[in-house]
Amino acid sequence: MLIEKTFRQKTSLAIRQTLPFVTAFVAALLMATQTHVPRLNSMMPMLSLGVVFFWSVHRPQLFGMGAAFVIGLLQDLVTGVPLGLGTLILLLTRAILAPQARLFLGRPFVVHWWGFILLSAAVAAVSWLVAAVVLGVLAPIHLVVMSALLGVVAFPVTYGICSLFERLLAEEP
Amino acid sequence: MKGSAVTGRWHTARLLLQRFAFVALVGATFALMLLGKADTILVERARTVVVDAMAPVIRALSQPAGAIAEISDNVRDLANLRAENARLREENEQLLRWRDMARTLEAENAQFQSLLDYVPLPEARAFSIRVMGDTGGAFAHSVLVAAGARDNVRKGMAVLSGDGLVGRVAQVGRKASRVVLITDITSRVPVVLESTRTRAILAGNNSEKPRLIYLPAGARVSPGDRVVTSGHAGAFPPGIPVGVVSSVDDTVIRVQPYMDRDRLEIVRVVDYGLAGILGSLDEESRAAQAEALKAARERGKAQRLQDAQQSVPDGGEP
Repeated sequence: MLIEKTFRQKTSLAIRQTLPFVTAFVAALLMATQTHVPRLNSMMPMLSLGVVFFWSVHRPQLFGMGAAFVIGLLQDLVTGVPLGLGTLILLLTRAILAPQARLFLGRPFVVHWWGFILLSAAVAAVSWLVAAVVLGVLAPIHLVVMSALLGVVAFPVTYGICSLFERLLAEEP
Repeated sequence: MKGSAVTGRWHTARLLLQRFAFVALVGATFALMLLGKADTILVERARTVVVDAMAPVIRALSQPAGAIAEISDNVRDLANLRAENARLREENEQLLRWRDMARTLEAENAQFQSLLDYVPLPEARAFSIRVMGDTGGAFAHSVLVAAGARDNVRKGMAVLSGDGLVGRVAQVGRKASRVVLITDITSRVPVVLESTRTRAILAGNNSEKPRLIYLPAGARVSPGDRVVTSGHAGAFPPGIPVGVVSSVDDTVIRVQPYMDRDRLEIVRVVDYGLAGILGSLDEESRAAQAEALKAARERGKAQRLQDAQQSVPDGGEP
């Protein structure tokens, strides 16, 4: 009986520990769905960025750089953007944020949001430049800015959903 | 004391490993970027495999948005039913008049074709497929469709909506394919202005309104001019509606495409048997295309012979 419970606990823990990866995976695929909202698909926000931000701050040990690389690569392959663009963004986000987690942990949500706004601005600039170098032409800057703004607006929802999953991680089975 | 030294060393080793992993992964990312430029076939294959594998998940994730859009469309349609009915009656009357005119022109055209020994293009093969995903955001304009090689979709096929040209099939998986839209930054479509027959290239720029480039000097373009495919370079057959000129200024001429990216649900994939600028049709398609042209030439010869025989009076010499 005791062994069975331990096994169940272990399985439950193992499944819950995949939650950060699974949420980022779903966010990456959500970016490839058809929204039917006028003009939204032209400025689809990088939903995976908010998810990677959250897990890099709250559970970096469960969302390593390898996971960020895999999610970025998947996103690039599915969405058809220049290969390496999303991979670079998510990898740098994970690498920069995880050591700075103490700046955010225990602080109110507004601090996280400000952090994400700064991150989104940097990501918009870097992705526009990288896309320009890789494609050899300039993508419309207003769409890149709008995409970043939509990502900032969507961040509270992303944060809320990830917080719910994080509570599941903290619970004992 | 010894224990803490071991722990410290282990910690240092782990830190080094992490740093090395970061450097290796960043290196791998730049290698991917180079690979994307250098070996497009390999990258295309990788994209195809991943999209094929993820197709069921993307389709499932798209369903809620699709259902909401359908409900809102139904509500809007119900509200506009009376006005829509009146508009359709009027349109129907106009179309009936056009039909009569088209029949006359068709007969006249057939007569001219037989006189000129004209070799028609191979007949197009078309089928409708569902759009399951819209990808790319600000950096690419493409849609994923729920049909692939098993449904006879081939690279380079033209994709149309009820309104006009949507794009072309760029990657084909087994169950899903990617269609690059005419608004994509990599898209170049040879077009003509319908009224003046001025040639140009429609260049996508990832915005909703692509630009017209490479117009001849002194070309006159005005807002409202219809833009259709020119048929040059074998990318698309001539005459497919593309859009209308929406604005003209000193430097840029913009076109409003007829296709509406946000309302694409069902698209028509048409095989005109054209290798096009992609030059990517396989041997089988090339053979089919050559066969179709040969058959058309033979039909023309047979028709000529028949006409010659008909023109000879009974018992007389031609």
